Amino acid sequence: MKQEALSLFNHPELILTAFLLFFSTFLGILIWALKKSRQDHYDKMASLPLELSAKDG
Amino acid sequence: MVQNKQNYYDDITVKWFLYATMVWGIIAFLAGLMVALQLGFWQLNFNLEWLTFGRLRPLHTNAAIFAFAGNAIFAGIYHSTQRLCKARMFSDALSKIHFFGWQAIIVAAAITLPLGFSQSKEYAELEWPLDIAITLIWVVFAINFFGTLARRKEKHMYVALWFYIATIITVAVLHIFNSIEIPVSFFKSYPVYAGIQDAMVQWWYGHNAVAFFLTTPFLGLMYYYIPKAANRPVYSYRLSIIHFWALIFIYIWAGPHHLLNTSLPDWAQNLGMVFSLMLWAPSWGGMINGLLTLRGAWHLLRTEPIIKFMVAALTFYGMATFEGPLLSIKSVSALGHYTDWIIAHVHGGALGWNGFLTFGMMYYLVPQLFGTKLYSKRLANNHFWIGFLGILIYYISMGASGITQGLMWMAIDSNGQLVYPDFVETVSKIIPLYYVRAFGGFLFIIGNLLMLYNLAKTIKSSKTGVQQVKIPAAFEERHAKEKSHEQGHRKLEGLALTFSILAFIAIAVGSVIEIIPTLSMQDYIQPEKKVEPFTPLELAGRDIYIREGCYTCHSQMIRKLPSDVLRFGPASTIEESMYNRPYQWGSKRTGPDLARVGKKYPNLWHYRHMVNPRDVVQASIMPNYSWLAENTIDFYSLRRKFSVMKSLGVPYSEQEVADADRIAEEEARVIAEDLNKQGVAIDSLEQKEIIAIIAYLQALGQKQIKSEEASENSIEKEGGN
Repeated sequence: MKQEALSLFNHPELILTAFLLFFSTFLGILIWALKKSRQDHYDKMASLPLELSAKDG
Repeated sequence: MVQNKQNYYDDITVKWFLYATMVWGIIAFLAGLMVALQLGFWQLNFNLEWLTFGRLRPLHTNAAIFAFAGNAIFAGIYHSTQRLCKARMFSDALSKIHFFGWQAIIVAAAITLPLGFSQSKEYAELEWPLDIAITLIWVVFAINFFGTLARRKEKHMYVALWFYIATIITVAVLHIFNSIEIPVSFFKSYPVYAGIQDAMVQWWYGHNAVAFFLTTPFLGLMYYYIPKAANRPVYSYRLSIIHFWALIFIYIWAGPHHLLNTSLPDWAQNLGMVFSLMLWAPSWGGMINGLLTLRGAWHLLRTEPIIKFMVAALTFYGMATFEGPLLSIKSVSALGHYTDWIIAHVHGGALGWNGFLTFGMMYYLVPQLFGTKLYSKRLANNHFWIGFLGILIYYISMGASGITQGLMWMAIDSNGQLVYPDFVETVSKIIPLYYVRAFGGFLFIIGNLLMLYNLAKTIKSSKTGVQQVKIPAAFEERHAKEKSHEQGHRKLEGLALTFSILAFIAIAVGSVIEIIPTLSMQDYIQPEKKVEPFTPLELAGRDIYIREGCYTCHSQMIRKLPSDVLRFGPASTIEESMYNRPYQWGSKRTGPDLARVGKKYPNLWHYRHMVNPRDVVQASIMPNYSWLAENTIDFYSLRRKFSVMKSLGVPYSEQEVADADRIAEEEARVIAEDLNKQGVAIDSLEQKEIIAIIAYLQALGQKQIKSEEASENSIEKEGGN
């Protein structure tokens, strides 16, 4: 009986929850990141480390 | 003066961490070379228990991960965080406590691990006082880091900072949950998790130690130092957003890929495999983002050793993150797991990705900090090529070794019999590759020594020492005229607390869904009807097995694979390890699996095997454990150990707890008498540790009670109660 319970321990609801969580989160981030924001902001942020002089490190 | 100080970066702490990286790096690599040589030449422990592979291997891994990589991470984080926040670190005192506290923990680890104080959980071997110390120092680091974020002048947090945030939060969560243990004495504890729970929690921790100690902080460093070294902005800031969130969300799920084909339920194995495969995408997204940052600057690859190191590091990262998911496919894992292929994979990542990125960062940072130029580009180039060759030799030899041995283990002839039934035969074949691997490691160390010389000369050439660098104005002040409309991720980048909470949620989702059902797994087993717990002497022997680090070479998990079952016996079950604190499934088979070794050989065989393995297995590469026949068993602590085990749910009676030492002495007398009869003549043999470890080994695979016996026992117990 217990062996049977162990062999059937597959938790499909967890797998489904995991998939939905993952997929919706991924989609959310994708939309968020690709949202029609001003590209120049990203450009500025990308160059933030470079704004420092060589001496600043 | 204090007011003044706040206008300057604290680069002295950065310098200390860099020095510590240099010192611990060479020690970690030398320890690695030592254990590599011991696999080729078993005599190299010089018959000293403190220098034996089982004790030195954890020292090597801990030194490489927490001492070398740890100090490198801290150096880079302290340096880049201040610059990205345009603020001095939150507290000089906390910086000092962090630095000296971390070094003290490393020194304590370097002393306690060779002495055998170990929990035998990979990358979490340190005993409970050090676990507490790590927690405290990590909290100090977190306060210092988040305090700096809180008072930053730069409104938006650059991508590198996100990775640092994820690192600090996740490492804290992993370390705390994996280290919940009950002390037995000052340097001995038992984890609250047992068997499959312990395995699951340990590899949730172990895998994510790689993810959040060796990957995310280094990605943060990559996002800062590659643009700096190439003088180019990161290729795609958008991609970095997707990279970050996808990576931290997916990584946390992948731990069970270390337990494929074991007795872990299939749903957990499949979950681990699928999420590992999904990791390909964000990992390669990050690698591509790093490499394409060099667009238009590829010529630097010819002339600048820093760029060489960083590009090679990213390439190794790409290779390791391709190979990791590949090894997480169940059928590939069936071949690669427990073999040197895993060692090759790990070192491709550790030496290539972590090592080379650290070296690139150090070649960049030291001249910057000391206001001078690198002493010799030529030496740095030589370092690169020697180190690169070393890694290739290491990787290829261990990859070949692993695949060769894996195929030999799996080879079954047309009669359904193993082609190589003698385990030691599969070891003898790969020993030449151990020599080659050691040579690869030696080259890597030569390269490292060149770097140390080069950096020492660079520092010596500095006229000013570490320069005082004034903190410049923040981005917003410099671009005050430009209007900014905050929305989406840009807004979030300005909210450190909200960002950190979201990052925590991202790593918590996978953790909760995987770990909670595992913790309830005991509900499916009725302990008293399935398996007997260890007797006092067996438990004493088990603790010696743990102390000696036997898990570094022997597994105790027969996988559900025909070749494993043919070689070692029926596949291991969840119940069999349900009282095992800590679990001893292992992750490498330099020697055979021991899950069912009990009663396979007589006591005398084990005695001779421990004193000199070659007496019974001629080609064995196991070192002699002669001290086990000299050291005496600690009977005194057994009552306390039994008491702790009982408090954790092991079904010992009050009487068994009270008489644990006496029962153990009686058990020892029986085994000693058996050995005496067969000619073993040692004074007080029944007191020697070798008797306890023989008792433990003879119990392996023998604890499962047949159903008829189980019901009889159950009736007796009920009657007794």
